[in-house]
Amino acid sequence: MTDEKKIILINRILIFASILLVIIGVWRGEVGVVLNKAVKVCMQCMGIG
Amino acid sequence: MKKERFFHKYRHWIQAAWFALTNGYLRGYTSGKIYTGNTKVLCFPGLNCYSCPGALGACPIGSLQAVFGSNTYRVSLYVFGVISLFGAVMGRLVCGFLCPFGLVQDLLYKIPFGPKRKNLPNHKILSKLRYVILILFVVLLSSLVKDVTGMAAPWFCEWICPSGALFAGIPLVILNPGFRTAIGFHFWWKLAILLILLFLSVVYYRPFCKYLCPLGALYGVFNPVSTFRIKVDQTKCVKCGGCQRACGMDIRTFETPNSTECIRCLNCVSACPTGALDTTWHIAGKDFADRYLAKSDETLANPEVVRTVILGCAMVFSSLFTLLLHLRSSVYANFIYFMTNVYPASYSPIVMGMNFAKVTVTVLVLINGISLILQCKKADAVRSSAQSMKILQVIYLLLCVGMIIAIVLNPPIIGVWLNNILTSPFPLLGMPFITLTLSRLDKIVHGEKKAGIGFAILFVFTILVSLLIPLFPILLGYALASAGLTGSGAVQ
Repeated sequence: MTDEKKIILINRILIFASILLVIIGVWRGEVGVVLNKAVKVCMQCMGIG
Repeated sequence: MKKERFFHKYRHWIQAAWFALTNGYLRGYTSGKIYTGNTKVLCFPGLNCYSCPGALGACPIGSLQAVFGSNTYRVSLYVFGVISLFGAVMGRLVCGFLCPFGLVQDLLYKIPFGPKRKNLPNHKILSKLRYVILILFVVLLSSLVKDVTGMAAPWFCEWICPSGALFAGIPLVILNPGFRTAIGFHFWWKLAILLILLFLSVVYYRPFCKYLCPLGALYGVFNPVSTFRIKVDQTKCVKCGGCQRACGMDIRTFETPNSTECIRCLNCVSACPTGALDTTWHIAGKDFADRYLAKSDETLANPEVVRTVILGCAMVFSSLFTLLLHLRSSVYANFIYFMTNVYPASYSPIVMGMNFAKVTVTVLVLINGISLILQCKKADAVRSSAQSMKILQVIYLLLCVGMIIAIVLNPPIIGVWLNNILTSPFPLLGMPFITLTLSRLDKIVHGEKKAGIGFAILFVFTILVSLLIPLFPILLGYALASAGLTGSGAVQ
């Protein structure tokens, strides 16, 4: 297998694994934590927390 | 104009357009309040503070720390998945084209003031600092240093992030009098960091991206293996060093075109005098077109190949559809359990086992569909796929036996399944039928009209039924409500 093909293979595995991680993360309910944090003003981000 | 030169020429406009698109909540800029809609669940690729008054999405680094620091989860699979997906597809192209703070630094560097330099002294050592910040501030401190409630502060946001100070802190403090009273040491500390970085950006190219950005450090790791890549044609390259001179990050592109430092601004590609540098998206672009699209001199594609690709697409679509419905059901079941601590009525080990088998079959259909598309030109692709479909039929048969056993053991389950058929019939009805029909793939592909028409009718029918049946109760409710036939508490 050439280097180029190895890179393509690694890339495809990474993309697949990332999608899998996102699906598992959504299934575990992590998005709720993200949404909860993102819809409130983050005092620490602003520098007054 | 070569596409790379086009993107290079309009890069700042693309950055500005992306900033406008992802920070388009205009009311926030007048009211001093932030957007609270559902799109905030999505992580946008760049370092875009979610407390920016206009932000429509979430910052990936902020979200990563939020989940690390929560008392519910130790690791954030969702956010890390999103970051690695962006990284695997684009690498640091995000830094070059989609990061708002990168745009600010780019514009400051254009100010014709003083000498222009690329790197700070001790560049090599300082460039490792962003990895230290990533590990120490984003991962360790934000997940380990917890307060009495079990929550941890977002250390990077709190002590370093200049994007938060610029896009969230300053606008909100100006617009909202309530925040002005809360200003303290933290604010002045972050303002000082921001001002130092902004002044440095006038002289040095992107100091924050080079030395401090943890998101760039993460994306950089993906640069050598990302889908988007810069490639060097060694037969054309004369090693003149023109690419390095044009590169703000000071990379020897002709030696390491996909360095972890490269932000893919495409200066090098545009500056190369011999055209030795080029970009590629691998299969997504040119390779994909070469494989599937007809050339201009080709009059007609092989109809068997076309039919094979269409069948492959149908299999991919139907299996993804089924998987999504299963995902919806599992999210629903988990939600019920989360709210009530009671499993839904349909829960039983045998049902779980059958669901697992059904999802496995669906994934196999998905894999078969993808392999059919990828091998559309091979003569034996259809035959081998048809054989595996016959195996899937056997599994479906076993599932039917499992259903009968489940009904004997637990008769009320019939009601639950009938309800399932009414609300999402596709997994239960559509997939076995489609699998049955697809086992005749070879006949369909070789132009047997009856098989082809039968498949098309069945496919369209199951999709329509799947989409329409869940709407029936709603439509019925509205029809009854509009006729004044509902009691109190019915559809309003």
